[in-house]
Amino acid sequence: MENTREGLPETAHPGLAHWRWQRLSAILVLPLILWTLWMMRSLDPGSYLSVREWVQQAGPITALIILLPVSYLHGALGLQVIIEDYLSSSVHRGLIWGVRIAAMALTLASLWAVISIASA
Amino acid sequence: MAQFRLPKNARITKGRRHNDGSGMQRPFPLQIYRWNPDDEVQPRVDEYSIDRATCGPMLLDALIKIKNEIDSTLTFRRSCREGICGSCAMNINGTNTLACTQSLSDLDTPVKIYPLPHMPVIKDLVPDLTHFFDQHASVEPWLKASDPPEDKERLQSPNDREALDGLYECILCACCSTSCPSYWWNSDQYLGPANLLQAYRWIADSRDEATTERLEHLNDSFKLYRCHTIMNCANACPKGLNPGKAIGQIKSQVAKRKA
Repeated sequence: MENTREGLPETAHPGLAHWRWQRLSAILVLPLILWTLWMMRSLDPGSYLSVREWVQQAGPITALIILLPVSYLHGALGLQVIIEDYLSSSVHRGLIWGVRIAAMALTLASLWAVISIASA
Repeated sequence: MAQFRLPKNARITKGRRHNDGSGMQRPFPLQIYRWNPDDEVQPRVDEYSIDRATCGPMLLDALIKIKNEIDSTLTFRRSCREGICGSCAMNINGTNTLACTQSLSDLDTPVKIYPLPHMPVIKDLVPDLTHFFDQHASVEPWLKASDPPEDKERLQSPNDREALDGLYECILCACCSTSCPSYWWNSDQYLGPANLLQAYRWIADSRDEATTERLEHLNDSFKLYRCHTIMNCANACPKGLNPGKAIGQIKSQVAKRKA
């Protein structure tokens, strides 16, 4: 078995987990965006008071708390594909971890912002 | 440092016009990529005209006519002339296909002929497919099963046999793999549509007993998951196969095994 696979590059890493999360997050993001937009009908984006009241409702805060982490996860997974596709393998690890850390930081900051507005 | 220009030996120059079609009953112009590793000259596009009145109906007939009657140095692979060997795969008017099954009547003129894209060129229209076939060997394209009883064949139901339709017909011409942008960028690791279709041909074979091992080998972010369902492969395949679908089936089987 080994003899026919010699000379070809070593295995990178299993791809199933990434593929599954990418599809799962894509399936979640679409209805969540539509649901959030539908609920935004009652929102006046020019008024902080209106935004605060909107975020304090059960529907919008639930949608935002699910949508924001799922969107950042989907974005990070997509950027990982772009990095692996188009950039030299020598920079893969560093850039992918950079993207993951940035996505995590943005998720925490976004959730903190939503919760702060809701509890104001 | 980013490189914004192609290397010198990838910049194509204007070549020679070998004839202008004068005196021909039905002149048919062709522009053909030429490159010879034995001289220091950059690649060029030479122009030829053939007389369709005295030429066979397919593009391969035109190339053979040029080689026989106009320019014997023109180099290309060909063998079966009926779409079975895959030797004469090339890029014809921007599409990868087989010269032997490409009718001249269906082509806009002048016909532009280049070797298969993104492969090293050996000479003129002959690409170097060594790595492609090494990758093919890596999927171990043969039946892996314990020996059957001496007096019996390996039996297969009509339904099991039908599962191989759309897979066994692949002739490994590389038209699909060399039309795939993912294969262009990552062919060092990504197996490409042709070899993944070949891999699935053995995964789908009811007589093969190495399915788990084959799927384990393919569960790799580069070997398999560089396929982003661009589907150029299905558009390019001169046999009308759908490698993208086979790749989807492999992904699905990997996921089911790991569930």
